[in-house]
Amino acid sequence: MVALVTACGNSGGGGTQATDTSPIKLGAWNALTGPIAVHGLAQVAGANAYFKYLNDHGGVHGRKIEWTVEDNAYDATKTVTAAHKLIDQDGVAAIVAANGTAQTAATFPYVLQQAQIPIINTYGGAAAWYSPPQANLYGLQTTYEDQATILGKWAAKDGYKDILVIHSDPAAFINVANQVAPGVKSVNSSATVRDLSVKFNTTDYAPIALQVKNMHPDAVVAILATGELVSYLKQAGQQGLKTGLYSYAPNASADVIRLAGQDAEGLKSEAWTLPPDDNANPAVKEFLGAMAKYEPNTQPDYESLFMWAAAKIAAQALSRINGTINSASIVKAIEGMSNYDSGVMPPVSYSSSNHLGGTQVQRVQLSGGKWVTVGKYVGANSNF
Amino acid sequence: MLQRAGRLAGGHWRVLVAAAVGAATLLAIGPLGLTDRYQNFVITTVAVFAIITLSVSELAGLSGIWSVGHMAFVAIGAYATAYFSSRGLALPLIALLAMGAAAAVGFGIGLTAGRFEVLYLAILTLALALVGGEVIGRWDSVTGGDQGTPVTPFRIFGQLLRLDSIATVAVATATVVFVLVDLAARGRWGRRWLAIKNQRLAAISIGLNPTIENATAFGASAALAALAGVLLALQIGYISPDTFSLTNAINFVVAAVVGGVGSIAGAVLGTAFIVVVPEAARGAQDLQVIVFGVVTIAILLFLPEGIAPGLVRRAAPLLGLRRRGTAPRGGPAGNGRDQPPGDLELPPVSRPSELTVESVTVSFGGLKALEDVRLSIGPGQVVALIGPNGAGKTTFLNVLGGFVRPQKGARARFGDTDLLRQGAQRRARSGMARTFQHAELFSELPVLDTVVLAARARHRGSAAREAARTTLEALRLTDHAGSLPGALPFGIQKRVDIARALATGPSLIVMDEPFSGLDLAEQQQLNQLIRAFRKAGVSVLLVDHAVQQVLSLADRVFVLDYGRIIAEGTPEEIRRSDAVKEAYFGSVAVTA
Amino acid sequence: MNELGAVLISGLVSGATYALLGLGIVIIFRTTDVVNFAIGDFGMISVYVAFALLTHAGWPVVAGVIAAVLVSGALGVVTERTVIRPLGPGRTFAALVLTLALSLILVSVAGMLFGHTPQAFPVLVPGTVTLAGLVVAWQKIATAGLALVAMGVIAFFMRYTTLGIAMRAAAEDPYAAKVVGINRSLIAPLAWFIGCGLAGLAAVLLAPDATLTVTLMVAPLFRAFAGVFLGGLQSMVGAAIGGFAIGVLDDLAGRYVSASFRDTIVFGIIVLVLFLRPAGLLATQRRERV
Repeated sequence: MVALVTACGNSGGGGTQATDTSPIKLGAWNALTGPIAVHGLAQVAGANAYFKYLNDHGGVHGRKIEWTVEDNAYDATKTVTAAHKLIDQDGVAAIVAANGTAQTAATFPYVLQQAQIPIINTYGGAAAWYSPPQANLYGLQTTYEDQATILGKWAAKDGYKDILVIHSDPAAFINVANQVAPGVKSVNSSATVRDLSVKFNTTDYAPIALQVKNMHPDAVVAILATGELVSYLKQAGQQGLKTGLYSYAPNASADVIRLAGQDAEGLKSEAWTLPPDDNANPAVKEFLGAMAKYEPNTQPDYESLFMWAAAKIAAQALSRINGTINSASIVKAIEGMSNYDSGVMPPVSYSSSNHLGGTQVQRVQLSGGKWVTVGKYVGANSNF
Repeated sequence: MLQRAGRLAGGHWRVLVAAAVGAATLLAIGPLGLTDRYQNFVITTVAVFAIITLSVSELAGLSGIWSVGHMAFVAIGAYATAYFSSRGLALPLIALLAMGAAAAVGFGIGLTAGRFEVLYLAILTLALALVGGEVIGRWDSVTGGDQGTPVTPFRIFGQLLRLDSIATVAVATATVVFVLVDLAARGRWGRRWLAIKNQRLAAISIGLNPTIENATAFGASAALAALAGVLLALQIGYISPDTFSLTNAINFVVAAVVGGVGSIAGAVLGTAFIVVVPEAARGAQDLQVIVFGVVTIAILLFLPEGIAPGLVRRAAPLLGLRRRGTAPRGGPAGNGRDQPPGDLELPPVSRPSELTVESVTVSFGGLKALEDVRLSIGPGQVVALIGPNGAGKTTFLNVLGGFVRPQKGARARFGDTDLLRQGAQRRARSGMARTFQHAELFSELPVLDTVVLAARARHRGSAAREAARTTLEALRLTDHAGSLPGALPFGIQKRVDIARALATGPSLIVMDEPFSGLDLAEQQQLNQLIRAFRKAGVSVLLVDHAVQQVLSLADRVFVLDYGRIIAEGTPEEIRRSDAVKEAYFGSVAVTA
Repeated sequence: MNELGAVLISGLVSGATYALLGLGIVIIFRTTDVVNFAIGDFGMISVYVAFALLTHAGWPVVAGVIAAVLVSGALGVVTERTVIRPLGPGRTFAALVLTLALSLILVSVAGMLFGHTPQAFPVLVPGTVTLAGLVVAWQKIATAGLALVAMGVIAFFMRYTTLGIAMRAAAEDPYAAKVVGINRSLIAPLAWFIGCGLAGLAAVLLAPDATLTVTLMVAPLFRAFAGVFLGGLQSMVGAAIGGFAIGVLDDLAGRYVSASFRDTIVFGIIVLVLFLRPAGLLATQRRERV
């Protein structure tokens, strides 16, 4: 991991690129204000910490990275405005570590197709973004659909036979929830999988917890946003519900521990990365050090570590470019990355036919108020 | 004539400025190339959003209806564009379809406007916004649900419509929309809507139909919002549901209020405010929002009318301009006697008619407000209906006006028409006009516009304007033609009220407390006026408790007490009636 | 059946907080003609203050609740004095936009002061109790109880104290307060204090079950407004009943009819009621004040 930085430092010191010392301009949009600013700010901190760290360690080919983040307030029109500002005024070569599914999709006609600027490693996204692959669009997140399949397999492997999937009602959640059953069936074809749809942004989960109690499942898979998962955990705790509990990567976070407390104990979840407090792992330690130095006001968490990785992977692609760094060469470098291990998350591979780098997740479980890893990295097709 | 020339010049001036701003912007983003693509995009956003602000602001300014549901209409435009773009429909056709659909929904909501107070109507539009949001969320096949849906790029003359040309299309469309809306707002539509907003009853009394007019206004405004939605779809190329959030809807209300409600320039400035301020403060995060909030509050406190009207008001004295209606032209505004009507000559009425009312009974929750009331007025007669407070005079006026329905068995004939079968606003056209105790003038319409509006009950096209001028001249109001009512003394206001009634070409004028609030000289003038009505064959129904004045004028008097006619006769007979003395015990003295 | 009971209890408990908020909105509207969109955020700020007192100064939870009410009320008074009064009377929509702007400012200030990380606000009373086979958290019972007590206190105040009667009179007729001998310039700040204080209470009761973020009060305020319009903007009793009704309706509709069309159902009912009674269930048609 440190090798990349060292390598960059060397080439920057006296390599062939020494003539060009202008910064490499990258951009991103994220919600810095508005209802999801909580997440936006944490995510930005992670990527920002990486780029600052990289710059202080010599940058890429001796050139600093200038990463500009624009606020999109989680609004599509504002996101497209931000895209224009970044591309037309700042002249960024790529969008790296941005956030928002529908918001980012709104920029595709301009960014991907008209301006032909690559969008790399966005937080969010949908399976449809990458199948079929679209020019200039590269992702890092194992699809939520694949995660659901993995959850199904995991619960079935744990021996559960009557599994209830609780999910929010927008289509994005339904599509994901529907993939739990195939995962379960692939392990245990006789297990039953049931489904409970809840209005998005429900705040009071007491009636739902009670309904779950009356349905007597032996395990629950929650495809819910963090706030709603916490609400469910609290109410399930009050009702004395004892089931196996599974959730997906957005919910592996310190927030769940802080907000649900004891009620979250035992929760199993997928995570994008290794636990962000794992000081024993050198790559995570590097992240923690950088966060303490460059983003002292942000508590390191899964979100910030994931965006750290997103930035690190993009920077790795930049470092592999011999010659001019521009949108086209970045695309070429990204597509040449195979089985690259950032050290903090499952290895990623991109190619011209596969634009989604990540296909695996790390399983974790809440134990003693801490996320601890469960087994190795797994994917939807893994046997585990 | 001078007045008219000034008006037209004023109107042209505004249109020219709007067109010039639009053309300058088009030049800047087009041939001159003064802006980069990011600036073009921001300009496009301002142009598209300005249409939305305009649709919200003009609806509020002209009709007094505040909508927080307009994003639903924008959504109709945007999703229609996305949906039909992939099916190869031509852009203008899509725009027309979307505008038509939005207008239909808006018209339907507008029909209910009269039922609710302004805040409750706002809640109704809020419900529309929420329903719209949930429909968008679930109607995946068209909207793509919460993931959004792409817009297939359009070709115009074989050329793919790219961002730079979309900026041109948006600015040009916005300019045309602004010019047209300005013309409509200052024209007949706008005047009718303002009249209804200012004085609903008085507007009905000159034959306007508030229900239909509100619905039309709402429908037109909705169509504009849908047009903006079409442009938005072109601009972004991808429709995401968060665009139509409540937060954004409320932002347009902020833009409308901050810019200046009902102001054309205000819609642009208010929109620029909500788009450009956050854009300029990019990167300041929370601070950016705080600055936006503080500036909004400062504008509300220090430019109470909004940016555009507020700046005009502040700048006007510097530029030596005077706002219309702040001071009446021609002489001091101190009293209403500066130009007495003098010897009034009115053209004879074309179709004198007789009013007969019989068996009118009205009860409110068991309480009888009117019982078996009858009354008749012959052609050219002056009849007085008197009675103490609470006798039922107002209820009777409301029955005549069509606002209160009497119980079965009542008959009311006016000439050839059965009044009870006619809606309130149709009665003006059958020749019945009305004046009000407090004048109830349209506060945002100059005197001439008010009277022209009334004259349209009878005349079409320029004939209405001619009739209005004749009426104003006859009532010696020509010097006040350009004034707003607020700038006029009360005596003159009441005269304008009479002019408004007269301009509808009535054969009967119902006058509610015409003498109240007038000084002695003004009362003398009114006497003369009423005599002139009689001479011209216009019947008059005086409803008043200024008994002495009324008795000296009337041909015949009806006395109402506790909802019943207790006496009827010539003024002489009434003076001697014991019943009347009893009913008026202690109140006869209160005459002037 | 059991589940229906739980749905009703949740609905009533959330309804109690909407009712408090709605009552606050109505008290302020009746006396100053201002629809206060910032009222929820006064509550949100005061909960953060209470949270700081609990976690950093080690105050007991009850003291925190009282502090929240007082802080929120005080913010209301300051607002009335500094921006609402200078705005002048009869500017309903300008005042509405002003409070919207204020809400934006408060949320951002809270974000800068207290951070965007969600916090867990402690419950007033821990534990649960089993009632007729239903497990109910003490927190819910405490929420409903405190809300009802607060409403009772307000009812008593408005009905039986000189000040309260003066406030009600002033709402009907701006000059009536003079008759009762109360300085009119006191009425408006008092209304803002009570109204925002109630919002503070609502917020501090909501915080444990939700999580404490700067957007804590967005959804509850929205529902409270629904309740206010259902009951009538002029009616305090209407706002309270409306709040409870929305709480229950919201949960019933979301659970038994259609989760996806919950808002449509709730607002559909409100629109229906308004068509039958254009000024709300319990309000008489409002008189325009001159």
